[in-house]
Amino acid sequence: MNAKRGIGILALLVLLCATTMPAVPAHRAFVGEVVDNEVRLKAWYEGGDPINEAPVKVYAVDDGKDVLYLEGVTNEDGFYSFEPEPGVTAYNVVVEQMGHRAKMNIDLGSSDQPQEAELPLYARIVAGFGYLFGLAGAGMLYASRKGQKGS
Amino acid sequence: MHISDGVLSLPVVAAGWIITVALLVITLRWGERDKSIAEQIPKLSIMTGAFFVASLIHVSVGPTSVHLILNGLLGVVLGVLSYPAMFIGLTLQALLFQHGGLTVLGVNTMIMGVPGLISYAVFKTGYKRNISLTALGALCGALATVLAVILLAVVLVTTGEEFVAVAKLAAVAHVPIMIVEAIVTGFVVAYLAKVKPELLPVDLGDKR
Repeated sequence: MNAKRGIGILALLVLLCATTMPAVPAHRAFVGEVVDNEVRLKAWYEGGDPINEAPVKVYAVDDGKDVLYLEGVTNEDGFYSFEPEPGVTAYNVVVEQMGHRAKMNIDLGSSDQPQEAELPLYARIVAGFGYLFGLAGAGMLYASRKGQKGS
Repeated sequence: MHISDGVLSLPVVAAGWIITVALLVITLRWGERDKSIAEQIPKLSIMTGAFFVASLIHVSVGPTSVHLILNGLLGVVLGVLSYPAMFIGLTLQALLFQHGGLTVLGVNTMIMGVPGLISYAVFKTGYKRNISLTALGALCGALATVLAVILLAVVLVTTGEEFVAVAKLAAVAHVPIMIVEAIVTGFVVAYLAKVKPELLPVDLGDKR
């Protein structure tokens, strides 16, 4: 009974944390591009905060190999622009800040960029709890089997 | 606080895995010795769940954005088992939120888990010296954040970043997180001590 009450209290605390949580997720890092006559990039964290004043490395892709083409730093809004090398249409861009890394491949030759399909955030949270319950269940099943054998 | 895939060099990633696997084995053995892990599964899963979603609560500070970690809280409530709990939480975060990455799980678990274990030790020692549980909880919450920042800076030094610069930047950015973690951990500890002291790793016994 006591154990049940304790679990109830903990569950309530978690629920409280979850409901007071702002709807803005954090800390996945992104980088995206806008093409004009130069390539303009923006780097940001999940939730929209720009990755500002962070080192940027631009690699030109030559025969499937990355060759360092340019190095720079994003501005305070997370933007960075560079002029593409004549004749080279594929670039890999890497932005890093305090251990976070965002990467993207740019292909100036094709007009449509493939977009990664992704589950909405709430679905990912639910999925995480699903895994946890599964793990807990498996652990308890194992424990009860062990207990039965012991008795 | 999470380091992404591909930032660190191979030896650092390998060292992180070795430390984490060793600590997982040790903490699981240790946890089983004190009290059956099976009995603690409900508590473990709920705390892991809290840890899992905590990293979505973020604050933007200056040039970066930081999020809650809750490693101090897990350390205080789960004791040595906080290490495996954080390993599971971080795995789920890497898979579902792309926070950090699978190859660097070892390093990330070390950065957040070791401070959790230290907070647990501080909590136990402080309790024996009759320091108020709420103050201790708050201290442990803040301490775990500070230690995680230091470990993060140490790990990032291997990528060629300068220790003092990174540590300063990360420490300043994490001041609000430290305060929030101190409040949350202090509050939870005070609440548990009053309502459900068995959930804390110290024996409150006659002192209730």
